[in-house]
Amino acid sequence: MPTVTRREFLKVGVAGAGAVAATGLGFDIAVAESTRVKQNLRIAGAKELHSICPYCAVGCSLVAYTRQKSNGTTELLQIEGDPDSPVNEGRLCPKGATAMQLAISPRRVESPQYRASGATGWKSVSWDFVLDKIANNVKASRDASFITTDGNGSTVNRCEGIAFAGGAAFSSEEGYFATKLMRGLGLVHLEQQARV
Amino acid sequence: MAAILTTQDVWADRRHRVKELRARQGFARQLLDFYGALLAVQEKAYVEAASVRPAGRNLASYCADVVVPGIVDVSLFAGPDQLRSQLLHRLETEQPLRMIEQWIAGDSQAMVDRYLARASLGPVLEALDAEARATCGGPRDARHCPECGGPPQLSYFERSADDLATGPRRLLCARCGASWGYPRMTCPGCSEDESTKLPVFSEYGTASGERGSVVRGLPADPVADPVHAVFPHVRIEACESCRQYVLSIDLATDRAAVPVVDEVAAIPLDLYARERGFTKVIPNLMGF
Repeated sequence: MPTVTRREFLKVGVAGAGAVAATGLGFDIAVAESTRVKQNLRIAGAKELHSICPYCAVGCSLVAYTRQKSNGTTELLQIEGDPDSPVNEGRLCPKGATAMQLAISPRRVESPQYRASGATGWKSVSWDFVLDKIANNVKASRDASFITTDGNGSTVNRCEGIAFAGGAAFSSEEGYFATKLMRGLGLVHLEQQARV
Repeated sequence: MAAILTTQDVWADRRHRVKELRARQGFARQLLDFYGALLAVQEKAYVEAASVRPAGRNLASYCADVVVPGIVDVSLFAGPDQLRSQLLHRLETEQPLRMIEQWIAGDSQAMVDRYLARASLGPVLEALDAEARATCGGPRDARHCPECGGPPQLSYFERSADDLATGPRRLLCARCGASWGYPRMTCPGCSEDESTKLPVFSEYGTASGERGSVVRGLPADPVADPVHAVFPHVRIEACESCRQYVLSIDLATDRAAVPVVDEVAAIPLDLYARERGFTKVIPNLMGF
């Protein structure tokens, strides 16, 4: 007499219970055919996650549809407007609707691009290079355009050679920090891009 | 009168969809053939109830007297052997009136009792107004029908006129067919809203990113491989907290879909969910 392990017994029991429930009203042919179809379906689990559009100050809610790949990485499958959000009620502008390209576009630029003075093309450079370059240019422009007094002899201590534009997706804290930093440098031309 | 005609279109849509899916999804033919036969009787019951307008307190007796004979006839004529024998056996030992009263009260029932009660009461409740539906028992919370207190049979995403907009999610009542808005990332079975506990199972290739389009509402990239999914517009929305699930129909993906019909025909997905240990919030009319 063949021996049946506890695991095998439970497996048969669960499968049997499922089959009984599936054929409760006797649609056995449909169940048999559907079982065959089910075995050939390529189904995978995914998760939906809330997110916010990164582009502008409206802050539209997004639903990001992601799937865990077998190598442990997360694959982004779909981004759409969140219909439950009172901000956008499921709608997205053409730019926000393509937010998925930020993550998956093969044409996405993945490193800073630099075109030297007089050069005809761009080249990829490191973030360290870019940050040093910006710091040097800010210093040079500020040194060259900083004035301590205006035409009337009044003390102004301002930098007229640099303007600053804040990004639309700035948080309040980022906006505060940027303003503080720019005022510290003496900038007077500050602007915020608050819409698309 | 105009409202009734509009609702009768709903029955025509259901019949048409049954034919469409019958041709497309051969595996569900046995079920759809029977459902199609049942629809004819239910539509008749709907039209009659819309004209007679039985009072809420007489719902069960009206259904037992007027609708049940037709439902029994079609079930015995077109139903599978098991349904026929179970039905005959139950009708010898239990009054249909009692079965309908139990369904109205929201009591637990044997599958065949629930089938007969649902099939008979459903079209009548659909034909009546909120006042009649209010006589049914059941909680009136976000997870239950605000009109009759019934549980959700399925979830669906409404069509949207704008390609860049996602339609809201609605739940469809298993008892009266009314629908109500429900948050997209919340379990209809237990209200769990932690998204990491709410897995969604769908066929590969049905997400917009897999179709080669970064915009959900727009057609797929014509250069990309076409999707050969059996259910491009149906997915399993499960919950790891209560281990329940509902099927969700996306009307933006298939504009011709009729949720109540498409849900009945999606048995392979029910089998898949069951295999993973999930139980449907409530089985559909056919017991799946």
